[in-house]
Amino acid sequence: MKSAKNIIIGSLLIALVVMSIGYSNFASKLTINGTTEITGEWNVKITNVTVESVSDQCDAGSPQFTDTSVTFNAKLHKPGDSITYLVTIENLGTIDAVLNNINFYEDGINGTDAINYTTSEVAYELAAGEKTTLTINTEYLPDTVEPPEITTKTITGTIEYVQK
Amino acid sequence: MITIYLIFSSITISLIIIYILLKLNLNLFTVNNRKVLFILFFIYTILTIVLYVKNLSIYKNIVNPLFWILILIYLIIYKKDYFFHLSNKKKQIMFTIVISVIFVVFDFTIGLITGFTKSPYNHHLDSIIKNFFTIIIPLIGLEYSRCFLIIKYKHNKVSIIFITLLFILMEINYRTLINTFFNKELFFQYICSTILPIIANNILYTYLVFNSNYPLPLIYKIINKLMLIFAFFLPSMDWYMVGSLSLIKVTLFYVIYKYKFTKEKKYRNKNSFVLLTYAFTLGFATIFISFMLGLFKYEPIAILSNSMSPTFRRGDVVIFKKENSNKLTNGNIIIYSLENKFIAHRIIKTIDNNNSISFITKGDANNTPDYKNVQPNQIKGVYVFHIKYIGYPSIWLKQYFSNSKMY
Repeated sequence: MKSAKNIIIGSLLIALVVMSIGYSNFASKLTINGTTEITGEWNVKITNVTVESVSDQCDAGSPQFTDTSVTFNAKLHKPGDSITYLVTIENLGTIDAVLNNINFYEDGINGTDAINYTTSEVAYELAAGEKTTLTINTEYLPDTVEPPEITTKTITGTIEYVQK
Repeated sequence: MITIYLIFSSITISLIIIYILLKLNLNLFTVNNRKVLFILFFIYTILTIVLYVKNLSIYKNIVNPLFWILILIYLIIYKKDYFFHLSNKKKQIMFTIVISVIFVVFDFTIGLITGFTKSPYNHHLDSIIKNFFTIIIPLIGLEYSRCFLIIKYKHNKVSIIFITLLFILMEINYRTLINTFFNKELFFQYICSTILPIIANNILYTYLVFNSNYPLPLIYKIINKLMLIFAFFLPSMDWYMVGSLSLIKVTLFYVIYKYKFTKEKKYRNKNSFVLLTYAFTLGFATIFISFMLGLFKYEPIAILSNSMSPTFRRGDVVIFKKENSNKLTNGNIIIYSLENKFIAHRIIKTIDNNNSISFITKGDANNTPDYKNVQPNQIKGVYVFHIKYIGYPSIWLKQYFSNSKMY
């Protein structure tokens, strides 16, 4: 009886401490809106964001992402420069998913028309176990005559899948 | 339409198989050999692992529901005594319903703090039918089988452990396990949010069936699944919340059930003390989780470098208080985020430019200020105090993941 109690309490506390140590490593505290891991079968999320290519003297920053959103800070140096990001979305659950909404927008304060961005198409259907990649390309327009004061573009995107 | 077609064809196939077995009079199942079902589950578990990896869609939509329909039919036809004469456990059933509903309400109450998000489940009729077929039916078959096996093997401890292990293995999503295996961060999250709760839940389910001789886990699971399938909004939870709350809920269920349905009266008084110990542990765990999640005004952060030495050093944990940037002055140590990292440095100068405030910061041990000014929206809080050395486990884990986010 006493032994069982100790094992249960001990296991619970060890598991919680290990999880908490891990959480302190990964988490941006309370940025969990748009995340639902409560369901066992549903698990579609952004799993990785990488910088595919970056022109000389440009700064791709460190893209930040949650399960359903991603933010880039692209700092470009001169006309013609570009940075390309790859966003991987995976269906890690057991339910087939379809794209419900994809929305990208730029920071209104930091924005400049001299830097443009384009997004590739993303898979409409994402069967259980599959993954898809979205490409975001930011470009300092080559024909820019008067360089803007700020050459950084902040882009945020949300990608929402629902059950097929 | 495809969904309905798949469902009907699967049910038809299963009925045909049963009919053929009856006609052939193979006596396969009528043999009073409890090992048959056991071996069948073992083979099916291996098949599950293979199919999860090879063709998840066929497994989830056809093979799995079909298998459990067959098992249910088998139990109904050949194990009538078991299936229809499960002793009525009104008190336990009511208790399980009440606890399950309380847990659902608890999840939604959490949503009031963390927010809600639209349910990913489709609410069209064909999707509801599909969910019923692919989620609810297997669940019923699985829980009745668990109950049957545990009752049959009740006096053999090794078999009970083996049955629990078997059901744990049947619930794991092997494709996700493999997909996340090579990404240490995702793998850790998957283990914490899914595998640990599966293990804890299955131990609880075994305990419930063992003690009640009734498929109580079915009631608990059905209420949870129905909430998921039919709710239009679900509480936002990240992996840490899901994992830790699952463990707490399992322990809570176990403690209350054990206390309420302990048969021996002589243990009652003793159990009051045990219950108090559990209550204290669970209360502490809940407060600890809330603290880690940042639900309080104070939050912890592990320090990775000696840039603020001698005030605090690598391996210390700093407790900071969420504070409005208007209240900050030169000399305050602030915690701010930069490119998904947390930095704890001292304000050396405040720049007020046309009502737009920013801060120049510097580590006490650094020779130069930080290369970027800190904007108010980056600030997480202000340093309150620190605890020496307890941040080292976090640092070691960080080094293991090679994904530094703190300076």
